[in-house]
Amino acid sequence: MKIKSGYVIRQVMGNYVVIATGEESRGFHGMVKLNETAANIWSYISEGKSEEDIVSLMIAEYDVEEQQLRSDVQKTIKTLIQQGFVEL
Amino acid sequence: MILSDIEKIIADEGVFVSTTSGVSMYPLLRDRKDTIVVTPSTERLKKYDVALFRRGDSYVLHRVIEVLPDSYVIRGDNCIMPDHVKDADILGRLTGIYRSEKEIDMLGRGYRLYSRLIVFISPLVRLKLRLKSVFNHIKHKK
Repeated sequence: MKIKSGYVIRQVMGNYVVIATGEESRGFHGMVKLNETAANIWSYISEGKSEEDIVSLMIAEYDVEEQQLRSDVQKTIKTLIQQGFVEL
Repeated sequence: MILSDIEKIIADEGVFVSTTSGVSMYPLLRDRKDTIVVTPSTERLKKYDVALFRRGDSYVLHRVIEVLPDSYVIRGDNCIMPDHVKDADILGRLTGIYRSEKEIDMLGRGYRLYSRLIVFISPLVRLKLRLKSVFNHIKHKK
């Protein structure tokens, strides 16, 4: 799993946004906002972490139940893939 | 880009983050490589500010080189011809730049010096200097 080349995350005025650069910017002109959790997941993916790694890392970081967290991580990754930002 | 999107994003979010295309602000902004952050401006722009403005059906991000009572003279750092832009066509001001991954300190001395120099030494001046040096080179060869 990796971030598709050309997509970058920027922290602007307390928000995280994803934009396209390079060739990707010819087809994608939007600006997608991510919440802090999604931005965290994004940075773990960019470090080459697997879904399993991300869940374990985030359990240590957030005070939430594992099942809930796993489902949130899965949902976020699925959305990132559907948006075309992440590829398997 | 669906053009109305930029205005909608600025109105809804209070900020517009994007990359830029073209070479008109080169070397500061490289084609589809660097990231810009534009925010709506509540005050009038100042000389050396970089403005996002509407030009017909498109949007342009160039530098203010002269402030007039109800408009601006605006030119790309790498352009020869300026635009005369009414206040109503100004959408925002460049408040952030990432050159690739590196954020530029727009309040820092380096950037401020660059803004002033690039306006002072416009492309036309740069072209003249280059021609002069080529001419001198030819003269020396003779």
